Formats: sequence, structure tokens, C-alpha cells
Amino acid sequence: MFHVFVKKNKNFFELILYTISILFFLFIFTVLFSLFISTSFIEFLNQLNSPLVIYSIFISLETSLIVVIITLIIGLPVSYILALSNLKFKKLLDTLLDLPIIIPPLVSGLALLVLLSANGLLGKLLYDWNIKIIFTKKGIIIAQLFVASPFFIKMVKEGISKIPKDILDASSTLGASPSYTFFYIIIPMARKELISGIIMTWARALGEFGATAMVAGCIPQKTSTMTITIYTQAMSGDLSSSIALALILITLSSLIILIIKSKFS
Amino acid sequence: MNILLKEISKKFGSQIILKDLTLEIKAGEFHVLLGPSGEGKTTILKIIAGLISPDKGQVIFNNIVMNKIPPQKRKIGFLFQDFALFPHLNVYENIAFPLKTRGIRKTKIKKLVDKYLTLFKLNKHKYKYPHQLSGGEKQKVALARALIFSPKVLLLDEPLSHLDAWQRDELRKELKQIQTSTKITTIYVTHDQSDAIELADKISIIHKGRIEQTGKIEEIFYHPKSKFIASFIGIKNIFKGKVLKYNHKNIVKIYEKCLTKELNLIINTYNSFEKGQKVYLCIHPENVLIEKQAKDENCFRGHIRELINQGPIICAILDINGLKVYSFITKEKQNELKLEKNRSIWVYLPKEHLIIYNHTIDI
Repeated sequence: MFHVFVKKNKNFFELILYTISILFFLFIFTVLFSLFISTSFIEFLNQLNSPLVIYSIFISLETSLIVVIITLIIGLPVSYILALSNLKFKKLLDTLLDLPIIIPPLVSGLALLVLLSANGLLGKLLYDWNIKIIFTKKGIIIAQLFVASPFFIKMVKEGISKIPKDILDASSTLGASPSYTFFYIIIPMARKELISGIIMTWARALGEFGATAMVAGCIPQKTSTMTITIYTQAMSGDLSSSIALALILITLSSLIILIIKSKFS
Repeated sequence: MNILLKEISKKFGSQIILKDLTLEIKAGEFHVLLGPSGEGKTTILKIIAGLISPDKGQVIFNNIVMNKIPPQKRKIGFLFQDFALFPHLNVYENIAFPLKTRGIRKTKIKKLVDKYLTLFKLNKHKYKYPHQLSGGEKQKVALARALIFSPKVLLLDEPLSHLDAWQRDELRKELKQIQTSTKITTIYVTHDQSDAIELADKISIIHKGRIEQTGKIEEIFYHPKSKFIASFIGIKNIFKGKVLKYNHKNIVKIYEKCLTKELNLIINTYNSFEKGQKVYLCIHPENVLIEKQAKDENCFRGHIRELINQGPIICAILDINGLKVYSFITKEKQNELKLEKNRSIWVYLPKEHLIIYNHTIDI
């Protein structure tokens, strides 16, 4: 019945579809654009001279880049194992990897806080060695790593899984050791997913708020990343610096998406 | 290099792929593993290459057990069905790959790769990537890559299956030429009899994870050891029957539902069958003769149901008492005997060409 209705009223039906789609995109555009028109370019430049904003930008870039490097070091072997090994509990590991992506960052942050605080399972041990994680830059890195690294691992795993088995077999019969195959066949063939994974991880780390706030707190010019500063400044009534930082994040995110779509889709 | 597979067994999950398979391939031999798809042919190659470990049994190269040697140390050239060229490397880099993995100097690599590019007429494609090549060119690159490091064994997994007929012929000839000149021990997997006929020194027929028969082409095609092999190699005339002893002669009474009248065939007495033994009786279409006059033995009155032109030969579908019998004849023979549809003829089934197997199916 519905099928017949759609056929008879194709133009009317399409009109509804187009209208809903246009309204939806208008909604997204309006939300983002409202930030751009809420400040002037001079005000934006002024805010960029504020020590708090500058500190936030630098600490965000620093921590997110460290997270990318650590993710590369940890993520490549994990992706390889998940893609190519015959582990019996691979599905379980894969599900475990989904959790940091699915659960709310605040919950992730809470779990990290419980684990790493002075009375926590690991925190106790670290405090004995005089290593403090909570309310420090290390805390920011760990929180971002926990939330962002699964994006990289999942993407690269997909990339490696897509390589035909015969290609890997051919490499071995041609004299390549597993490590040679990894560096000269697997990585180049999964490079699209590898680069997309790096960009996604970096973007996710840069935009991380919930987990970071829980683990590192919101200490100005100590643990105040860009997102944390946006939140604290907006809550204290200083919208100008929040908007400036938000514009930087929106511009960066847009650039990242454009790069991924144009180069790797 | 001599290769011996000794009592190899392999299961994937609960599915038995190979069962106590034993196979010996002599040094310098071009050995074809022939069989339908899904019978474990590729698994055999991968076990020889070390890409799959057998559950049981030994892989022996020149009296050395290779089971624990990894693929990269077995010195085996492997040509995969879908070429398995590295898509991010160009033709030159693909061919140079096995030399790079062995840490050979750049100047020597260049010299060798250039030699193989010339040998396989790939010079003009040197800087092309695999996606820019035709099927035949890809196959040549894969072959050059598999041979450039002078492997001791060459394994070929249905390498011609993705090619056009003309490319297949050309590459078959090249393969045979290369194998003859290098004397490299070669194992070639296929389900295509024409590949086997043109290339093989020896053929092994694989069925249900076992070697059903190993032998030279004539042995396999004219003395197939089982009904499966007979039907796989294309013997169309396979009939069920029962052995009767009559005046010191072995006679097989054909039991086919389509028969309108009794049909008995005399078989050679050296076939030691018991009276009442159920058998399959086969004969190659080229051995079924159409005669003007009756012969004394195994000659029956019949007629032509159909004549199918198959290029240089004609496939005559004959009818003997309702039994469909295939015969290959030449055009000259057709003209000489003025053969046409529905014409009555004598069909002669020479007893020396009748192939007989035991069977246990109820008649």
C-alpha cells in the first residue's frame, strides 16, 4: 500500500524528503554559524592574546600530539593482532575496544579517577613511586588516550583486514619476514586508514572534555585544555574567550574532515 | 628438488580437507594436481610452501623434513590464482621485492630485474602499477617475481583461470618453455584438463582429500583407476553393469533403465571379475567406432540420434537399444559413411578399450 502511495505521489513524497533534509542541514549550519557572528574579528584576535587562551591552545596541541604518538606506538601492534591473529577471544577484545567509544566520556573519566587516585588500585602504587597523575598534564594525556586511541585501532584494524590473505602469503613466500611484511606491505597498503586514524585520534583528543575534566580537573593554566577553558569561561560568564577557542576548534575540525574526505575517501 | 608429502592430514574446523595424503614429486618434474574445486588442491600447495601447517604428516624436501621451516626460508616460488601483486608497488618494484627481502645490493637488483623485464617482455610496463596492467601482463609480472630469486620449487595455483583463451594458450607455452629450460620442480594446480594435458609430465588426480591416481597423461586418460576419474576426465560413456561368465568369456550385462532390449558386452578375460560382480563399464568416445558392416564381437545395430559439429571433429550421439553412446568421428568418416541423423549404423565397442571398475551401488 505504502509502495503504491509513494509511486503515485512521487513528487509530493520527494518534496517532503527534501524539506526535512534542508531543515536539518539548516539547523546544523545555524548552530555553528551563530558562533561566527557572535564575535568580531578584532575581538577574536584580542582573545588570542589572552594568556589563558594561549595556554589552552598550547596544552591542547601538546597533549593531543603526545596522545597521537603513544597511540601509534601502541595502536599498530594491537591493530595487527586484532586483524590477523587467530586469537580465540578476538571478538571479546574487539567489544572491549568499542567501550571507550560508546560509554560517555564522563564515565570513562570517573573510572580513570577511581583507578588513578591516591587510594585507587594503580594510583596507590604510583603515589609510592611519587608519580602523580590526577590533576596533572599526565592525567590529561591518559584521559585523551583512553577515549581517542580506539578510533585509530579500529580504523587501522579495518585497513589491515582488507588486505587479501594471498598478498601476505605472497610476501612470505618471496622471502619477507613477518616484520618486513609489516613495514613494507601492511603499513603501505593500510596507509589510508592509518592516516585517517591518526587524524581522527588527534581530533578526538583535541576535543576531549568529559574524561579530561574528571581526571585532570579544570585548573586554569595547569590542566585547562581548550575544551575545559571553553566550559569554565562560559560558566563564569566570559563568553568571548570561549567563543574564540570554539571557533578555533570548529575551524580545525572542518579542515580535518575536509582533508579526510578529499584525500582518503 | 625432490618433494615428498608423507601421510598429510588437514582439517579446517570439522571439515576434513586432506586425509593421509602421500605424494612424491621428483626433481625437475612438471607435476599437475588435477581435480574439481574444493578438493584440497590449494591446501596441498600451501602446505608445501609452509603457509599452512598440516595437522599430521611430514613435508620432506630432498630428505629434509621441512615442517618447522617458515615459508620465507623454503625457497619456493608461488604463483597465486589472483596474481597477488603488491598494489602499492610498480612492476619493477614488484619483481625486485624478493631480491630486496634477501638484502641483495641495488646494482645487482637492477641488473637482474632488467633481465627479467626483457625475458617476459615487460620493459614498457616497468613503471606501471598492477591496476594499469591486463590479466596476462599481471600474470607475467607475478611469474617473473616468483622466478627471479631462483627458487628450488615453483608452485602454481590455477594461474591461468583468470585469463582469456588466447592469453591462456600463450602463457601455457611460456610456462612449459620456462620449466623445460630451468628444470625447476613445478607443481601446478588446476581443474582444467587441457592445462594438464599440455603441461604435465605427471598428473595426480585429487578427490576427497586423497590422491586417487598418479601417472603419466596416457595412464590417467586411458586407464583411469576409478569411475570418478573416468567421469572427471570427460569419458561420457559410463554404464552400470553386472559380470556374467559365459563359455569362459567374461560378459558384462548392461543395466541401464533406458535399455529397451538386453545388451551384453564381451570384456577381456584378464579382467578377473567374479560372476555377479557389479561394475561400471566405460569407453572413450574416440574408441566407439561406427562401421558399415557388423564385426564378430561387441558390434550392435543402432542409429544416429544427433550429429554435433565440434570444429575439427563431430560428436555423434548414437542409440543402441535406447542406450545413449557418444562417438567422436572425423568429417572424412562422416562423408565416407554418409552419416546423418536417424541413419541406421553398426556401433563397435572394441573390448580392448573397455575400462571396467567394481562398484557397490544396487542395480
